Amino acid sequence: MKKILVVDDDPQIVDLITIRLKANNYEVITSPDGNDAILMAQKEHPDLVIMDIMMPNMPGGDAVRLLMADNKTKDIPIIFLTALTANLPHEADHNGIINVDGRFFPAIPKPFKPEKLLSEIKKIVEDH
Amino acid sequence: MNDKFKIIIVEDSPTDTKLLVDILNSIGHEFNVRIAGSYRQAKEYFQDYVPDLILLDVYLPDHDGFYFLEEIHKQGYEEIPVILISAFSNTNEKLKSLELGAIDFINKPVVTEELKARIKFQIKLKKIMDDHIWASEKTNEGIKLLYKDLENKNIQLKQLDLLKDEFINNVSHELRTPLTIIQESVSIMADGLLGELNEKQIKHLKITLENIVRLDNIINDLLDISTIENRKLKLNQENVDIVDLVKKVVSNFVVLVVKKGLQIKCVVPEGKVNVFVDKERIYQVLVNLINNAYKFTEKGLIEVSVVENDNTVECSVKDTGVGISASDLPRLFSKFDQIARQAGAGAKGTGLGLSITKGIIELHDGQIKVESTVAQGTLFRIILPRPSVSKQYKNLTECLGEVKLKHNNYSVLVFNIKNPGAGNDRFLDELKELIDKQIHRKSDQTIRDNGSVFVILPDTKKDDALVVLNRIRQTINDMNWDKSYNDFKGFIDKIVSFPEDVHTEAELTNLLKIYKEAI
Amino acid sequence: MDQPTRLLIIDDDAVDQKLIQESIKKVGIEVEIIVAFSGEEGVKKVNDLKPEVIIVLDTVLPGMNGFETCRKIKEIDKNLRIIICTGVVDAVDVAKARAFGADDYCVKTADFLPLVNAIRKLIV
Repeated sequence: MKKILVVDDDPQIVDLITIRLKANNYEVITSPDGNDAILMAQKEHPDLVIMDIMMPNMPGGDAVRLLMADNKTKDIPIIFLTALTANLPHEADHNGIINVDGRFFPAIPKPFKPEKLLSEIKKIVEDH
Repeated sequence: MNDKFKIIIVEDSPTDTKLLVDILNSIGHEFNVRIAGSYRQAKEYFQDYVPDLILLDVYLPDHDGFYFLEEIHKQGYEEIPVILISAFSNTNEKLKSLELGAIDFINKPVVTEELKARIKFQIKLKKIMDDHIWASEKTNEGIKLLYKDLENKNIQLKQLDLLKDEFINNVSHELRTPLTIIQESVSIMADGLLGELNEKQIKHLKITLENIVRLDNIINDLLDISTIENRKLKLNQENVDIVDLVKKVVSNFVVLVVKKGLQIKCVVPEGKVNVFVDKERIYQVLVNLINNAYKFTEKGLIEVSVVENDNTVECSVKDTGVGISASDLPRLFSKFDQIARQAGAGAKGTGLGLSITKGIIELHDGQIKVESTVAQGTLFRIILPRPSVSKQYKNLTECLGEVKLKHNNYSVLVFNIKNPGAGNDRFLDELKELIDKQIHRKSDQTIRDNGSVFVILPDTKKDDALVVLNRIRQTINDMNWDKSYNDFKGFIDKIVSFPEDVHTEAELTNLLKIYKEAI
Repeated sequence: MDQPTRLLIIDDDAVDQKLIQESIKKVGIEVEIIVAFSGEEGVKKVNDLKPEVIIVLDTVLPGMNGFETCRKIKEIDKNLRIIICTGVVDAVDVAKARAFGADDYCVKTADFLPLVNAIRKLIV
């Protein structure tokens, strides 16, 4: 069973995503902020990280930078969740992308369509 | 405020003095008069009383008037007009006094009317000077104040602008976060993940979900219109095949359209028609127009067409729907104005769609036009400018032009990606950065130009260019580019050398164009 | 002239009229304010109200322009103080203002402070 780390400062969202992922047979670990997420990633070696972008203690982008900097975690794929519109299409037939220091990550706009999230996850964890 | 005209009379004879004072009184202007019996006394007056006019007897006992004039000069009072009153014996004396700054002469015995006229003239002159100085000061003051005013307004505008950015970002976040929670919560329930539900329960949850989508659309529309109106919408323009895009959007509507008993068809030319646009935004525009056609047509046909003209590409959406009345047409693109087009059930919108569409098209330097007849149908026409070769390659052409002036031969490396669009173009951004770091010679230039990266190597023959290309190819292999992402299909590189391959710039530009379209 | 207790504002822009009144109130100047939206109306009110009034006058007015208005008012009573207050700074206009008898000239800024200061100087 694939393991997914969900990182978001809003516990309600974390809860909802967890329910959804578990119902689709994924193991879920969670974290409320960037700092904690990095420790979790190092310890648990998830197959994927779903990360919120706007978090109070450490913005998602910075958390991802830290993950990329550590050899143990730099190859873990990441999907961003974001409420901001800039550069994201809202009717397009593919997801947006966010660039962090030259690496590109898929970004799913909030509110997200569950099918989209699930298919994006599937694409990444099943095909790796 | 003292606007009395100040005079010093320097005269030792009481009779002569009385005569002068009488003349002054007869003028009818308000004067301040001080009388000095000697030059020394006159000089003392200057301590606290700077006159507007001096009536000066030139031949007084203690010194001569000329010496007095010199003294006045030395003290910096040369601007004060002086009328010399005396019996001048010859022209030399007059000339001397002119040199020393006297303004006028009056011979003794004084002719009343003559002196009166001269004094009146000095009064008038002073007024003109004063007015002039006043006007200059006020003008300067005014200019400085306006300038400061403008600076303040500018600062306020900048602050307002920042606030708008913050506002848009905050509103995005604050509205979408609870919406996400509501949606996912309801969605999970509706999908049965929290226990089985009866039909009615599922039905109501689905209604809730539909309305969440509506709400999301409204938020998106509001943010869009806000971004457009505040001129903050940034376009990501690239070469897009509009025929392909139209086909894609139409195919998304087929099911809905057929369900409603309507037809939808595409009337497009064979092959590609390229336009230089923001793909996502034009997609949005097409969806908006076709959706409107769908909403307002009960029977018949929706036709989406693309037409190539010399300078423009026209994309139209025609329907056989209810149409728009002539009185409503002018207000069609205004915000929130839900005109009286009778829509079918469930066809509510924000009233912002067309306004946003117009904003997007105009940002592309295009136009949107509409024609309609009630009960017959409506035609929306989008007119987009054609990308001219020169527009695309502007930077490249400029650079090549410069290079050609200074060098007899050069090579151009061209990198094109196989499937441009979405994130793949960013590969080119990265590539450009890497090449920039590698470039050794000052005259070499890297240009990131609309779907390609060009490297201009002056004074480089084809063989040498190949060496450079191999070096770059090696670097690309080492690049931290997630090649598995988003179906990146790789890139193509080519070398074009002048004069080995081409002889003119036009040939070169054409060749580059061909390479691009061959992908 | 006795301490002026009235202010006549001659300006055809209703927004500016309002802003001027607000700026005066804001600094605590206590005067009765009378408005006129054209030169002719202004002159008429001067006839009804003099003395004890300071006039604030814009140069661009419908009908009779500000300079003519200024001259006419001075003809009624040369002791009436007139401040020309306008939106643009033009050296020729400034000189004209003086020539037509204005006692002061100031520019309209967002806070109308120059005008307030000019009025203050005359109320002293």
